[in-house]
Order: sequence, then C-alpha cells, then structure tokens
Amino acid sequence: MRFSALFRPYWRQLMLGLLALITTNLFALILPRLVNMGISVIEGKKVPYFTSITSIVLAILALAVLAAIARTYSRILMFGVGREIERDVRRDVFVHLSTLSPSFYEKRSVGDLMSHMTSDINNIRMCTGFAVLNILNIVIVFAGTAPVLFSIDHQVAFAALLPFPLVMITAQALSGRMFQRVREYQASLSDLSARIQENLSGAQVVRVFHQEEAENTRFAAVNDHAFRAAIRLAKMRVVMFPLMRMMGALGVAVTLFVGGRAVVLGHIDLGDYVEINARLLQLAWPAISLGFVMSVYSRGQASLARMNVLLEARPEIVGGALPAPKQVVRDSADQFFVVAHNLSVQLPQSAKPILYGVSFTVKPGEVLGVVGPTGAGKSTLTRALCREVNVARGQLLIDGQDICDWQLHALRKFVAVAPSEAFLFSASMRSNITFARPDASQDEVMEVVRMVDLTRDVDGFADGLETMIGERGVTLSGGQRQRVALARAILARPKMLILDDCLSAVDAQTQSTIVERLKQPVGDGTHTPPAMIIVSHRLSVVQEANEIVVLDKGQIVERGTHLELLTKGALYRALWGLQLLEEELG
Amino acid sequence: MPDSRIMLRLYEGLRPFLKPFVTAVLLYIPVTLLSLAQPLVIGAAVEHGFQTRNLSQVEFWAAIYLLVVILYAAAEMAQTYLMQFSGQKLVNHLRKDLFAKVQRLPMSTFDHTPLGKILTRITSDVEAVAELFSSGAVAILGDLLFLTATLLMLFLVNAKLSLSTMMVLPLLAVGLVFFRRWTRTAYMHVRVMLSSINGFLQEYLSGMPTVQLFNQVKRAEQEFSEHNANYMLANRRAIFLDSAIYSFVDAASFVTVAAVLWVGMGLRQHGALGLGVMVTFVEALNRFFQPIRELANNYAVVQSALVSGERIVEFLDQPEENVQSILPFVPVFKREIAFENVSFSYGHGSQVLHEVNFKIEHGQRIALVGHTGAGKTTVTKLLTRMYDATHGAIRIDGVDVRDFDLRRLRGLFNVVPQEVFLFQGTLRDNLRYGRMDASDDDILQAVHLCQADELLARAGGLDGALQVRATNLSLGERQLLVLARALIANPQILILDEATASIDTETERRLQVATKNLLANRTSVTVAHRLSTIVDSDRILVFHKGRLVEQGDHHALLLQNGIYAKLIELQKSEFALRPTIVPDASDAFMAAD
Repeated sequence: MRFSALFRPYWRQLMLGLLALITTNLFALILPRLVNMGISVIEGKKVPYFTSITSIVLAILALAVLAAIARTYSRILMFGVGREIERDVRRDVFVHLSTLSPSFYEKRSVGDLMSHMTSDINNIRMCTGFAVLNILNIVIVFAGTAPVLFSIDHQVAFAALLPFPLVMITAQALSGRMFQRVREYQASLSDLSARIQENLSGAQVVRVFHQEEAENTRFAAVNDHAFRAAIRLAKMRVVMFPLMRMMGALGVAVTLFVGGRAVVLGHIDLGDYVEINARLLQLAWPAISLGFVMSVYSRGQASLARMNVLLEARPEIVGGALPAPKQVVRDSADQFFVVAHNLSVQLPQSAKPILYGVSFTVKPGEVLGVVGPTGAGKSTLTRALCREVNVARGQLLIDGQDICDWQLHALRKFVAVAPSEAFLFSASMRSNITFARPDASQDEVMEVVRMVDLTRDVDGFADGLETMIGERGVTLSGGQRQRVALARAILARPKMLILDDCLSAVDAQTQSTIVERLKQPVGDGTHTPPAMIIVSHRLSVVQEANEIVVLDKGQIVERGTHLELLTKGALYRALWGLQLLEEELG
Repeated sequence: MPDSRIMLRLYEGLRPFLKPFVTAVLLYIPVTLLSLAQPLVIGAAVEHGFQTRNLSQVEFWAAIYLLVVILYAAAEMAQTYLMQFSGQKLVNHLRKDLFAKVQRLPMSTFDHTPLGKILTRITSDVEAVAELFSSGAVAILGDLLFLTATLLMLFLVNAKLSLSTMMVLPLLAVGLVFFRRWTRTAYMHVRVMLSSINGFLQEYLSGMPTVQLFNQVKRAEQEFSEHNANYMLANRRAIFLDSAIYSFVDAASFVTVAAVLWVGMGLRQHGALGLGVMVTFVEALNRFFQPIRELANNYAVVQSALVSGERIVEFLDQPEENVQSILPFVPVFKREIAFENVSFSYGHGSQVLHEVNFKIEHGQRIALVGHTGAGKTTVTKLLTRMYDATHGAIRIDGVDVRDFDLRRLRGLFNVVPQEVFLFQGTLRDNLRYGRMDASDDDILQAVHLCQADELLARAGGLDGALQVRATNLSLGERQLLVLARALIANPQILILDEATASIDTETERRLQVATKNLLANRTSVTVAHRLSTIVDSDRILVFHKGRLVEQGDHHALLLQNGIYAKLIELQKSEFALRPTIVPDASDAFMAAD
C-alpha cells in the first residue's frame, strides 16, 4: 500500500480541491490590497481602479463572500478525499485480515489489531487529508504572498519575512520530540487501562483478600506515571506554541521598525504598511502549522509502514482447487469416508510434532471417539481436520481426496466444529445459532434448540430466541454457551461434525442424550446424520462409539470399542476408573 | 444534574492544587493586556511616528512592541504551564478517587454494571475532563476575557467607530450558535458510527477463526463495508459544517474591516478620526477572529467535559459497601458460625436460598453438595459478605456478621474460588496476595506442600512473571497456585469452591494432595465435587433448589435414604447396568463407600 496508489482513484477530486484552494488564496491575496487602498482613499490619496470608499468596501464584501465559498469547497473536497481513503484502507485491511489463518490471530492480540484499525488508520487519514491540504496551502500562500510583499518594498519585505525560516525550523525540530512525548503519554494511558481492567476482573479476589489498599497503591504507581508523562507532554506544548506565536509577532516588530522607517522616509505609505502587517498575519498561521503538518506527515508514513507489515502477512493455510463439495461428495450418504493416513502435525513454535502416525476411518452415521489425557493432541487433531493447522506429514482424505486439495470454502461447508470454549457473538441467541445459515427457518432453529436441550433455557429468557447474549445482554453459563455453539454447528448441516469436548460443562446424562439425538436423521429424515468425531474427557459419552482411539503424547496407544478397550486397554481402563470416581456426585 | 454542581465537584478535586490554578487564572489578565497592547502600540507608532515623520519615535515604539511581544510570550508560557499542571493534578486525583471508589463498591454492582462501563469512567471520562485543560479549552475563559477587553478598548478609543463596526458581531454570534447546534448533532452521529465500527471490529477480529470456519467471511465483509460507508457519510456532513464555520468566521473578519473603512471614511470627513485610530482598529480586528473560531471548538470540548464530569460525579456518588460497623474490633471465632433463617435473592431475580438454618462448629470440615444452581456458592458468598442476606442472619459466635468491620470479617476467611484469578506480576506477589508479609521460606514451603515445586521452577521461580490472566499456565496449574496462595494466607476459615472443569490426571492428583493439606486442622466450607473431599467431611449439607434438605455425615445421610442417598443410588444403578464390565471400578466405589 502506497500513498500514491491510495490517491489514484480520487485524483479528479484532488485537482478540483487544488483549484478551489488556489482561488481561495487568490482572493485572500487581493483582500489586504483592497484594505490598503481603502486607507489610502481615507488619507485622501488617489488609487487605481476605485474612485470612492463605497466601491472598495463593496469589493471587499464581495471578495470575502467568494473567498469563503471557495475555502469551504476546497476543504470539503480535500478532507473528503482523506475520509474516502480512510474508508478504502479500513476495508482493504479488514478483507485482508479475513483471509489470515488462526495462527495469525494467536500471535497478534486483538488490542494490537484494533490499534492498527483505529490510531494508525487515523494517522493515515490525517496524512492524506489534513496534511495534503495544509502543505498545498502553505506553498500557495507563500508563493502568492512573498512576491506581493517584495513588490511593495524589497527592504521591508526582506526584513518582514526574515523570522519565518526560523519559525519553520523550530517547529520542525520541536514537533519530532512532541510526537515522541505524545506516544509516551498514550502508552502510559494504555498501561493505566490495563491495570484497571485487571482490577475489575479480579474484584472478588481483591475483596476476599481485603487487598483494597494494596490495589490502590499499585494503581498509584501507574497513575503517577501517567501524570508525569502528561506533564512532560504539557511542557513541550507550553514551550512550542507561545514560541511559535512570538516568532510570528517578531515579524510584525521588525516590520514596525523597518517599515516605519520606510514610511517616514516616504518609500512606502501608511496603507502599504497596514497591508504588509495584514499579510504577515496571514502567513503566520501556515508557518506555525508547518511543523505540525510535518509531524502529521511523518506519523502517517510510520503508520502506513506498520499497516504494510500487516498486509504482508500471508495466510498460513491455503486452499486447493477442488470446488464445491457436491462435485466431490455424492449426496447418498454412505459413499464417502474420512480417512486419516499416518498423520503428523507439527506447529511452528514447537520442536516436536504434536501428533504423529495417526490413522483412522469414519463413515457417515458413525462415531469416532477420541480420548486421552490433557496435552495428548486431541484438539490438534480436530484442528487439522478443519484445516486450522497444516498437516506436516501423512494425509487426511475425504472420499479419496486430500483435504489440502479442496478449496477452503468447500472444506468448511463440509465440516463443522463445536469447541469447548466457543466464540459467541454479542448478538441475539437466534443470530448466533443461525450464524452459518442466516436463512434457516424457524422450524429448523427450534429443532436444533431441542436437540441440544436448550428449549427450557430459551423459554426462560424474556425475549426467547431474540434475547441478546454477551456483553450487551445476558451472560450465559458455560453449559449454555457450549450448547449454543453446538446448535450453531448442527444447523450448518455439515457432512462431518466434530465435537471437541463441547459438552464438558453439561451434566453427563444430558450430554449422552444430546449425542444420541445427533445420531438420528435430521429434520424430515432426508438428511442423513453426519460422520462424527467426538473428543471428550468423559468416557461415558464415547461409550457407544463405533471406534474409540486413545491418544497419548501425540500418538494412538490403544484403539477399539468400549468393551474391547476395557478388557485390553490399560490406559483406557485407568481413565475409566478415575472417571467413575469423578462422576459419582458430579 | 446542574452544571454548577458538576463544576463544584471538579473544583473540590482541584482544591489541593488551588494555588497554581488561581495563579493561572490571574495570569489571564497580563496575557490579555499584553495582547491588547499590540495594536495600541502600532497605532501609537503611526500616530506619533509615521505621521509626524519622527524616526526616533518609530524606533521607540518598535522597541516597546518587541518588549510587549516577549513579555506576552513569557506570560503565556507561565499561564499555560500552570493551567496544564493543575489540570493534570486534577485528573490524577480524579483517577485515584475513582479507582479507590471501585474498591469500595459492593460485589452486586458488578452483577449489573458491565466492566467496560466502569473502565470508561476511569479512563475516557477522566480524559475528557483532562482535555478541558490540555486542549486549552479552559482558555475559553481567556478568549472571552480577550474578546470583551478588545471590544471595551475599541469603545474607549473611539465609541462611534466601534459601535457602528461591531454591528456585525450579533449577526456572527447568531450564525455561530446555529452552526454549533448543527455540528454538535453531526459529531454525535459521527461518534455513534465510529463506536459501531469499532465494536464490530473488536468482535469480529476476536472471532475471525469462527467466522472462517463457518464460511461467513463474505457476509462479515459486507456488514463491515456498510458500517464503514456509514461512518464516512457521517464524517462528510461534519466536514461540510466544519469547513463552512471556518470560512464563515474568516469572511466575517473582512466584513468588519470593510465596515471600519466605510464608517471611518465618514468620521474622517468630519475630522473626528485620527489615522492611528483607524490602523489600531484594523490591527485589532485582524487579531479578533482567531479566538472566535477557537471559541466554537472549545465550547464543544467544554460540553463533552461536562457530560463526562456528570458521569464521574454520579459514579462517585454510588452507594458503597457498608464498611463501617458497630463493633470495630477483630471478630472472634471460637465456637460456631450459625445461619439463622437465611433467605437470599440477587437483585430482582428469583429467590436463591430459602430459610436456611445450620451451624458450623469450630474446627469442622463442611461439604456443600447438590446440583448446579442449588445455592451452594451463594452460601459461601453470604459468609464473606460479598452479599448480605435478604432475610435472616448469619452469626459468628453469636454476633451478626453485619455488625463486624467488613475488612476484618473477611480477614477470617480465605476463598479459593472456582474460577481462579491471578494478577499480572511475579509469582511471589501472587502467592502472598493474602498475606503480603509472608517470607520466601513460607511461600516455598506452601508451594512444596501443594506439590507445585516443579511448576514454580518451570515458571521461573518466585520472580517468574505471570502474563495477564496467567495464560502461560494451564487451568490445573493455576488452581494449584491458588491453593498454595490460600495455604500461605493461613486463614481461620477456608472456603473452597472445587473446580469441575476437566483437568489431566496428574495435575488432578496433585490438586487432591494440595487440598488435603489445605483442609488439615482447619474450619472449612467446601463446595464439593470430589468424592474424597465429601467422604472425609465432618458434615455434609445437601442443598436442593435453594433449600437445605439434609445434613449429617456420609453414613448418616445414606441411612436417611433421602436426596443424598438418591444421588448415590443414581450412580450405583448406573454401575448396576454393567456390573460385569467394570468390576474393578465398581470395587473402587464400594471401597470408598
């Protein structure tokens, strides 16, 4: 992403803006001359073009109105371009982010991405609207004013303009440091808010440990740090702006001295002097703003560079060429198989593979149970199946086709996952459940709600399915969240359904009932039940599975049906024994 | 809330730093005077120097002008610095007050107030007040002073000329008021759009993998584009009004100058006006309009500071936890804790506890058992006075818990909650959170008893840092640390809410050992899920739908043949279905029985 490319679609608008800006400044250039003429007329001198004070006053009024219109127009056009570019950048970045793989989101915090989307985009916008307008304006104002001043009197013009380079250099020098201070201040504010957030989340702990005073002290440290950063920034501002203004006023002082001399000596008249003064005031603000504009520009550059780093991130998971699943998988259910063949998965950050040598087969309507201790690689297996992580070695085949050859879009239509800690949106219950299929009918929705045993919960809410959940609505219990996530996955009508310990917060009895329902044909019976992979800590849930694989340290150590495993599987039997003790009073 | 009351409260906060603030306000006088002097000096130079062609007079007034400019800059610097200083002090103070206030809020506040809202009070709202000082919006005072003084000066210099030229000002004022109203609604709209765009982003960036898995990327992009485009349109309107107001004021300045020329011509023809006066007027008017433009901006800042100020004051006025007590001494627990007819409901919700009666004797180990939602955790929250009973009383050695000093009452307890919470910081600070003066030896000993030595070593020892929410540790490991933390605090009464979440076998075993060590020789109340904990208890309280339905030890309860027995029965019958399949596991259960 480059600035020139960002501007390209709007060059017409920019040119018009530039034209309006030039017009504005032309009018602004003439106005002080008219005032000069007015004073000369009052002094009783002859002036060109005008005979009476009335005609000069009318001319001033007319020009003032025209200048105001042109100025309004130029600002609308230029700032408008900034806003349009802002929109483009935000859209492009979002579209780009939506292509990136989960591994990207594990590395980057949402807070960090948000700061790209807010403050960096803001900097880019300022650079494209505000900075461009001001830089052009400064150039035009100086290019217009300086020759006029020199045409009045060389010596006076030279003296009057003398302080301006000084103003610009100082502004430039200070603004860099100012930028630094602003960043320090902002960093201190974000520390502050992190501290508060933590305290709020731990409110109960603070109270039971009666650590209120200690918390106040801890907070005082960050609070005072923010104060010091604010004062350091304030000091910069305090010096910078009065200094800038003073330098502008110096020009007026020099003009009073040199210009006054010229008036006394008769080189220029009083009207000229007043005109020079008025023009100096017109120059003062652009000159002062130059420093600010420069810092806006450099901030914009820095932010664009940051943004480009984000845009250069490539998706780790790339889809293949095989299109829609119906071309691959025939509609009659029992004709496809999901086969894992000698599968290994290795994550970039780990030295050892998380999974290796894993093989299994699942058919539609069948259940594969996956059990094993924490850290055995169960979740990684489910993530490999929906291509959230890449397979390092071996193959995952669906109907004989390697899943890496599928378009991601097609694969994800085929598979749906219900994880144990699902992400739900701050939206209505309904739009969460119908997330994958917004057009699902009321009957279909009620059907899945019934399947996951949520009917009673939904009836309990005042607004039923329309109840808002999450931050702006009711807080769901862990079990409710899991069931909503499961309903969402079922409603997607996948051919393969993965339950990744997704009912751990629901009691064992209910969990078994729900799983039983999943094995029944869906809706009017036309949809055959999906192939299911159930990962669970609760062995009772997978008891009825066609096959159970026991994972330990990344590989399958035991496999078979529940009965087979109880007799020959040592690890499985151990897990089962523990489980019974655990579940006794659940 | 009237503005005056908000101002008064902000002023209260400013009081400790009144000196710099008052000095800053007083400095407006020299700043304004020095600013007014500039056109006067130029006028004098014209009158006495230019017109009489007196070069030394010109030089004299030029030197005076230079002096005025330098003094002006100095006064302005001093003035702005003091203003910023007192403003930042106020902000610092407000934040401190707000944070301390949060520590004194009752837990029930957090049930009905989103955390984000509280965060906004301490951050954004305070910053809006700070903006009042840092953007120089407080300079609105100075600007008003400057404008009034300029008008007064012009009036004194030449009443006729000033009256006739200032005719435009009312017009300008009316125009600005209208613009102001439009821009305010326009900017409000912009802010609404911006917050909806950021809300959307925050959510979808957090949930992007979910969006991708469910193939909803296209839809998300479309929705986002809509928000994005709406935001731009809202901005366009604001830009239009902003540009118009800017140009409008710009034009007004020339209109006024034109008026001066026109009226001045008339007056001069009657010989009633010196040229110096004319120049003074033109110069003064050149300087007159910048503050007017800023006035409009600053007014907006003042408005939003007032809105934020109001929210801050409201927040500070919220009811607090009732810390004050009749009996300010350390509560004594030697005999028993008694729940007497205790009923409770959260806010307007349904009743969670119904007339619960029981006693906990000193040294007893109590287990609370029952289904989810039976009211077990609520019992523990009432004990520590996170909430107060709606009816009935809880007494410790005969004294109502509401009569104790709250902090000291809580000093009796240590709670191990189900959802562990650790702070960002070193392991040492986290472990001794309940007893800040614990020595490293104390800590290490507790860590050892909880079998967490290996975990501690892996996390970098006592100086090892925990990330925010301790995400560098697994759930089970976090629980181990919290148990160690409770052991270090060594409370008289321990409240343990056992976790139900799935934890790997090895960590689970460690947790059991740690729990055993923690419960040894201590009065404890456990919301129990583990059979081992329940069987070892002195007394089991069985809750069902908010009522205490049974109590006694394991065997006594089984003999009662009530809900507890049914809970156990249910498990047994599940085994009975497959007795031959799992003989060893069944044996294990019988042994425990």
